[in-house]
Amino acid sequence: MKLRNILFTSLLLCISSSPQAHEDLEELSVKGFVSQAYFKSTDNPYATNATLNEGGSFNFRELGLNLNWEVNHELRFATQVLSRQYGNVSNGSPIFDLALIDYSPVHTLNEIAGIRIGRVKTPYGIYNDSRDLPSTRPGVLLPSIYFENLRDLMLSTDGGSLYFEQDNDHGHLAVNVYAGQRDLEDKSLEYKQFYADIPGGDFKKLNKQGLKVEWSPFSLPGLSFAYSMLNWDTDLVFSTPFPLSSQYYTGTVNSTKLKTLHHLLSAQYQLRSLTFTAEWMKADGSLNVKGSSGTGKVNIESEGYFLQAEWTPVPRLTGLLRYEAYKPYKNHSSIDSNAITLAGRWYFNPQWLLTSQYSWHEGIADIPTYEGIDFSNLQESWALFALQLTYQF
Amino acid sequence: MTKHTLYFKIALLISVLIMSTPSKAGDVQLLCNLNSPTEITLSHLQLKRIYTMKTKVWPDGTPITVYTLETGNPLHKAFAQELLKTDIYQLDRIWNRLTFSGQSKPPIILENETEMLENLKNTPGSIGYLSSKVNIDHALQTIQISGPQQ
Repeated sequence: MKLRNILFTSLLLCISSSPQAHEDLEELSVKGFVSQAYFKSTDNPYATNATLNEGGSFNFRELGLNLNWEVNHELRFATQVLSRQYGNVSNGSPIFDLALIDYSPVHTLNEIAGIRIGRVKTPYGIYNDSRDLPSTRPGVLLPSIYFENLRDLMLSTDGGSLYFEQDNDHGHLAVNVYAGQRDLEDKSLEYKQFYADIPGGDFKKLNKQGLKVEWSPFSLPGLSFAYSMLNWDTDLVFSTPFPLSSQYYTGTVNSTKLKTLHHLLSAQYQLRSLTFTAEWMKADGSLNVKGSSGTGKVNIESEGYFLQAEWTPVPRLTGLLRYEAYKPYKNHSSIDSNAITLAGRWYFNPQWLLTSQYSWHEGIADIPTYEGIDFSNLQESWALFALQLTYQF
Repeated sequence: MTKHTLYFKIALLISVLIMSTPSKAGDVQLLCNLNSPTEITLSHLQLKRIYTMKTKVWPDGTPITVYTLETGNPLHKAFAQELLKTDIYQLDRIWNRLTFSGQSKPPIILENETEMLENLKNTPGSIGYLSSKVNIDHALQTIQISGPQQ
């Protein structure tokens, strides 16, 4: 909260203190979007029990506003507010997706380097840092390796990032390194990790570090590769010791530490009207427990990937076919999930677009978790239909 | 009619159709305000970097102001296709991705060619485009594009 106040106060001071700034405000860029979606599922609820009703659920809407103000070619302020109603997973309260100061002192025709401070987006794979905007997502929903359950955790970091981009003789190179923290304002991590809200304690703050390296060779236009690394850890301290009885630990638990290191490899190739995308993720995690029986540790390895083909026969129409698989616990194949998705997107005009998606799911590892979901009644095979209307400006 | 005559007639018909299709090349002129006596040449990659907001200064250090017309404007469509070798939806996605990921601000959108001409004339370091039919004076320079598409 403090960080946001500092950013907005400094932005307001800059605007009000400089006569030049009033002229520059004409160059303030305002962009935004509104979307309304309809979800209907079979056999399992999706983000709300209402998707199982005969009429499905319209309780999915997003509203985003993005402001950009370039003071000069080296200094820029940017912020973005998002309200996201996502069934029972997210209640639509406005949050800042980003709020940053961007200073880029290195500029040539072929190079740029700089630093961003504030709430910066997390560069992870091809889609993560622009996942808020419906038109940049492939289909209505992102593949499971983008963890819709942990959207806020994945999306941005309060801290800073250093970036460098260069066109050399062989291709385009982009490097982004970041570090910081992220407040966890909901119970999503507890639901994701323990399938329940653990009484007497919450994950409150997350430490995050990572990088993304991207390479596009000039020898084959349309091809790009990326490697993303994301490392995070968080503590959970119980106000009253939590009794636990499992094969890993028996006793009362005072605190836990959860750590995960993600590696993500991405490849994309655009050939005329076709775009092929593949991403593979591996995450090595551990849960350390401290309590009445000393310390205990559980290693958690997970893996996931997707293969996707998009066809754009005419600029305003795109069709998509995707196969994805996700193993949250590599050594326990009983809770794997995979899905086949067919999606289509049609732009009525550049501002209005309609996106539809139908997914056949096998397994429940990627199902959104929320307060009130009945885990005991989930089915292995289920399907989801989503239709989303978006206006963007 | 022999097979060869038939093939020849089909080939001739296709050639006539292709030649009689109004050519799009040259419908758009790319312009900048750099106070330079010589014609400016950019590679296709450099132009793409400027219009995807990656390059922010000219070689002499002058900051670049990037102008574009509204997405629905036919000249914008021609500019995207002829000079950037993309389509308006793809270009919009690139700008949205840059903007919503916090990496950059989008270009300044102008309503029509009159506004484009005025803004180009009044803003040193600016880049934009106009229809080839519009006469420009010495205040602006034409940009030639060279090199392979990237």
